[in-house]
Amino acid sequence: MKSPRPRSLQDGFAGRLQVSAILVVAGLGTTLATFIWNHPLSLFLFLCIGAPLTGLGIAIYLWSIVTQRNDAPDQSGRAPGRHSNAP
Amino acid sequence: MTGFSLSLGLLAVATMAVAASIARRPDAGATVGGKVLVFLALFVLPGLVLIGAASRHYEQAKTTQFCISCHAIDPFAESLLIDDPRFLPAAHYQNKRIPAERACYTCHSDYTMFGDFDDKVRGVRHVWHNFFRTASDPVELYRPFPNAACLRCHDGARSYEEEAEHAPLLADLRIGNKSCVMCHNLVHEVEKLDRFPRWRREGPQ
Repeated sequence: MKSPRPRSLQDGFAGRLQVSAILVVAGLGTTLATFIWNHPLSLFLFLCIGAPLTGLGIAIYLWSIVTQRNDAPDQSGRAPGRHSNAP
Repeated sequence: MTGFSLSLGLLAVATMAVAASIARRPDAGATVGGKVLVFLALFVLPGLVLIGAASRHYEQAKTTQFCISCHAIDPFAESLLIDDPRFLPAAHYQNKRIPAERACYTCHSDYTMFGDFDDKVRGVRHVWHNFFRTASDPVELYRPFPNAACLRCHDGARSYEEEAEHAPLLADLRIGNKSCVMCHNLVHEVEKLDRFPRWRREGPQ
């Protein structure tokens, strides 16, 4: 009999964490690049690319921790999202 | 680069480093310590960097360097160096009546992102026009220059209120019935720049 995988290794959660981290890195990288250029286009890069990517990364992370409990199969092996008390 | 920008940059680099390691090993968040680290790296620190960066860009957008980085504004920057005290912006700039590093913003403080919604939309269009070189030549204000920009400093000043020509107009100037630039009408004059000598600062810059 297989033991359940640790929660952090569940594919959905780990995948979302990875996507979130990549978005945060990309967003902060863009934001950092805008610091070295004093020009209206640099402000645009920050407003249109850097900030939205970082914000999306944060949002996906928050979404993943909020929905983590629902996605996790419980110890009895029931499918995610089913919380029936029926035997 | 200011200390604030440097600190913000270092914070961003540190956050990126931790976030990159999470991207490579998402299972690092399995332990309690790891969860705290993930929370810091994917929520708290990026949030702080975003707030700091927004503040930095907002302040940077007020600098003279930011305004004159657009091709269309070059002649206006040049007009600040006209060697003739009758020219309003040049006299203000050269005599430090306005801070040199915020020369444009001090008088045009209701412009683009600092104005109302319409101004912000125009600001977006200005970036477009500058990028594709489709700006009008020379660029012009969308509405008459507001007296409020002058009165922010001059209102209540003895030299302004006791001036014989100003005295009968004070009320009208305050409510905008009369414009300051009706009399002080030598402003940027970018179409005639080649007719005037330039002021070159002597000594260390």
